[in-house]
Amino acid sequence: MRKLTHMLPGLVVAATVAMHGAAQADDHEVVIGFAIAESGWMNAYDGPPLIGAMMAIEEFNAQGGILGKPIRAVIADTKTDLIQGAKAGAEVVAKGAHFMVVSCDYDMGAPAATVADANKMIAISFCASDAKLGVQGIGPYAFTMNIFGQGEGVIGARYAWDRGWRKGYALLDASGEYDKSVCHGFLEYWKRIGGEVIGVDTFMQEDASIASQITRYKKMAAERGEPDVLMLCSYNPGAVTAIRQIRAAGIDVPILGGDSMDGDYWVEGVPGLSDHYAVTFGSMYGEDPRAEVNEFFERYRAKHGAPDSSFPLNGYSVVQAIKIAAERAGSLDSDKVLAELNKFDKEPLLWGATTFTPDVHIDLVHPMAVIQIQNGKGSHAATITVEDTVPLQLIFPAFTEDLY
Amino acid sequence: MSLLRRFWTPIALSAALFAIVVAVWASGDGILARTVTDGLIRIVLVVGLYIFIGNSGVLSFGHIAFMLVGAYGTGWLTLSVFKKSFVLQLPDILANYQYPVFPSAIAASLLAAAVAFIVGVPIMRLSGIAASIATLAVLGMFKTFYTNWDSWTMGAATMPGLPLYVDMWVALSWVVFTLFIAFVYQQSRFGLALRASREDEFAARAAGINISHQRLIAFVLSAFFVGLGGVLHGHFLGVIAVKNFWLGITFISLAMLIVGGQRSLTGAVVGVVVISTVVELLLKIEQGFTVGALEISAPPGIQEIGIAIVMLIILIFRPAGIMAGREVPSPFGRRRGAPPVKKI
Amino acid sequence: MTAFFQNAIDAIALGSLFALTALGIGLIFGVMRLINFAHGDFIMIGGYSLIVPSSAMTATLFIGAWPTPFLVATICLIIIVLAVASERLAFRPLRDAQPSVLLITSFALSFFFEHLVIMIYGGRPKALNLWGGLIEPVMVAGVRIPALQIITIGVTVTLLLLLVLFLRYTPMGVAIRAASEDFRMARLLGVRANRVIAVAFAISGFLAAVVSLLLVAQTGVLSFHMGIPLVLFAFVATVVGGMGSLVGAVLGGFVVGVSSVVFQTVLPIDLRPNRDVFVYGMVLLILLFRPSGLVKVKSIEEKV
Repeated sequence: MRKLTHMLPGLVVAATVAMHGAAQADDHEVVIGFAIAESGWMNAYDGPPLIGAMMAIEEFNAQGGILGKPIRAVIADTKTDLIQGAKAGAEVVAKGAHFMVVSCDYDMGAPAATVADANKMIAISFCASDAKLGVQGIGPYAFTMNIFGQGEGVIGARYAWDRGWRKGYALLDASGEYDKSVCHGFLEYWKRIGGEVIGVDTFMQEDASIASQITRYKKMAAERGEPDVLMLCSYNPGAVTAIRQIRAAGIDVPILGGDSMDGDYWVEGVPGLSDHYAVTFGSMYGEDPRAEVNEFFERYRAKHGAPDSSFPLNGYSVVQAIKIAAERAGSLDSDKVLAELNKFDKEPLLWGATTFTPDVHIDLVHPMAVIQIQNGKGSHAATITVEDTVPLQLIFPAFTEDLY
Repeated sequence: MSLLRRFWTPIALSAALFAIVVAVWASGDGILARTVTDGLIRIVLVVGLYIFIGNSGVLSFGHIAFMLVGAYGTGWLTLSVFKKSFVLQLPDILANYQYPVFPSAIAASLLAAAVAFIVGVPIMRLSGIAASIATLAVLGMFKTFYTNWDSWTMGAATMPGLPLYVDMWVALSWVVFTLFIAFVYQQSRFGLALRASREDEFAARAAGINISHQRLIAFVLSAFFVGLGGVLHGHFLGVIAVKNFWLGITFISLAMLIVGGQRSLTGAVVGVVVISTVVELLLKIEQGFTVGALEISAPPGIQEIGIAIVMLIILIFRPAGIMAGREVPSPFGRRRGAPPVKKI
Repeated sequence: MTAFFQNAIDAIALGSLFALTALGIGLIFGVMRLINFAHGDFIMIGGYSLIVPSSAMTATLFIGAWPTPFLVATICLIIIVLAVASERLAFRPLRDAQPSVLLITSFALSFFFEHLVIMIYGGRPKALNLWGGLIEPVMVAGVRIPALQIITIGVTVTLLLLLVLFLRYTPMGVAIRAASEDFRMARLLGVRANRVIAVAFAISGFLAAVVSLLLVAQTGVLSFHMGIPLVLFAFVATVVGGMGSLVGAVLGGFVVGVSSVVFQTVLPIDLRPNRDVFVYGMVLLILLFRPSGLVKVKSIEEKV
């Protein structure tokens, strides 16, 4: 009985695939299926990387495509909805895609990635920062083109240390898993390199007011001195609300954030903002230390107007990774390409040197840029790689209680 | 023959749904099959809601808490040991075993029912709007608690890896089961007693009906099926996340029930079918299609706006819902002495 | 001592926002037994009216750039019109329907507004700076308090006083109170139902507009779900405070808002993310011990 019920998922999948007819397509082209949000709020985060991916497809097709075959994109709208997301994944499979690309968010991308994995299709997320969009969560065919959330906190801590800051304070938006991982990475690494944590507090994304958190901060500052850096682990719109109130309260301490704070489209909410630092993929302002990044954004600006964040780099890198792995495998067969992806060791992709292993389908050590906002204007502050990053166990947050 | 007559409503509804499933299966359209499966799961969910709301007349805003409990319950039982080991810190009996899906479904639904019993005992003594807000408070508590219960639920993150075994046929089987149980309940003396209290609370009490008890029974039974809806949802998508068991699904499931007509079982089913069909049509329009030489499409967002307008129109013209308290018309004629009850 | 004073002001300011919202919802609930879920969208649309309609990622102030009196008057007018129109088009045809139907109608309306806004303005939150000077702190009794908190409390107190005067001493106000307590009786006594309800919606819309402006000045962002957290707690507050009682709605709003801040301040760090469990739990306890709410209105209980 047990055996039968375990076989059931497989039977269902087989039936599903059979129903679609010939899912493996045309050998004359390479089909990359994008199960991403073309509408709904997620589009704000999927749109830019999609453009980056399209730029890559155009560029590679001009050079002959992948294995000599032209690349064709098919897009299925997830509409920022889970059920629709799974449907979009199924549509992409039905349209004969060889590879799937999913949303830049673990929660949003998971349904489509699950469908891909069940069909033994490689699925890569533009920029989900959760390792669960990988082997231990979705399955062996799922990847994500990002550093793990804790890693952003680590980079932030490294930057803070290099600036000579020693006393840290962390404010965590407890409504998101991404936030928790950034803060945990920051706190673990910060303490390890000798930083002091003088206070930690939490708030919720929907809170209109963080007045009581600010009151508690002021009390702490009176007793233990003002911190040198404030690690804010949150995302918009809650993050802007928090920063606005923090600055309004006269707290001018430098603020650190993750890739959710990339860009400067949000600074209007905190007029004259200075000393804000976001850990993200690169600088879109033309002064990234990597020439190819600057050149990429030049071309982006020319065709699509000013980018709002550095996420297009990841979109380009996803297609780039598929091309490299497929050409090394000499085939479009999922398992063969998978084997090549699993061997990526500091592979020079546009967004930076990327490493994947059979066990880890997210990048643990990756060069990240720190983008600063001074007087409401963004610019590149530093690019940092931390080799001795937090341990693998921390990716899977079973041990977080000790960090407070 | 008398069995057919007695159980006409669930038989007719099941037959109609069976016909739809066969048609879609024969067409080979895998994407449409997914839509139908989702619709069938919604039927289980909304009929679950109906068992309580329809029979008692008390609107429960918090039932999705039981869907949450059911979904995570089956997750704890059916996720592979490999996947559990990385993120969750479960007790031994859960962490080191992966249980078969069918008993897990039952167990998770029973867990939802048990939770409903515990919260129901105090809440069912409240009446009307107080009970409704109390259930909302329960949902709020569960949502917040599960979001922070990292070691068991992965916190705010999506829990992946639920075995994907729910297709149209599995969903249909559960729907048929649900329809029959719901019907048997509403025809039973418990159901009738509760419906009496719905019509006239004071008269019912005078007739010796213990209203809190009857409501509790319905509450627990309905939670079982709402929990089951959560189980099926989880094994259909393969992933579950706490934030998806909150206001969005609460709104749409209540809307389906009330637009269909909250006072009858057929209403619950019709509500799901009608709204799901309209959504699908609007989706097709949004995605664009060609009729002859004409290309028709609409800006994204039209689907949501459209369904809101359709619901408003249906309610304005039929405030008691589409079925307005009636069940599937029976070819056997009405049972003697049981005229349809109309709300004054 | 200063920390306590500061915490008290925080609590009262948040309570004020909840109270104003609860009052807007309580007014409608009182006269129509309708839980107006679209109230959150009135708040949201008030905010979005400040900017130029466009789906660009940054917002350009439109009405938001006008001098304050015009700004306030225009936003209030827009939302009042929206509220009254909603009543006329969506709720009036369903005047005698079951409360559950009215509720779903308000849900559908809310859904409609939400997606309309997403279609026009895009789904991404937009940052904007309204009255930036107000969030700067001022010195009050030796304590630094954000001016906006004082203004929120001040506006709330003023509006409540005005409303009390209106409800007590004007014919329309008395009619609304009568209708809240016993609609049928009020009609029998000659109160014009349509007019009373329209005025109730107008006042509710006005309150939503005020909350909207305070909220935007406080948060610095617009998002399509910005009204929901307030409105969710406000429903709860209305019932906790006592259905049918406007004083109860205000009281409920303060109770919920203050308790939220109290729990945030008092809970140890491990439990702080679970703050809402305690707030909702407290609500449950209140309902279990006083099912009709804190302020009892006699005619709500059915007579046999």
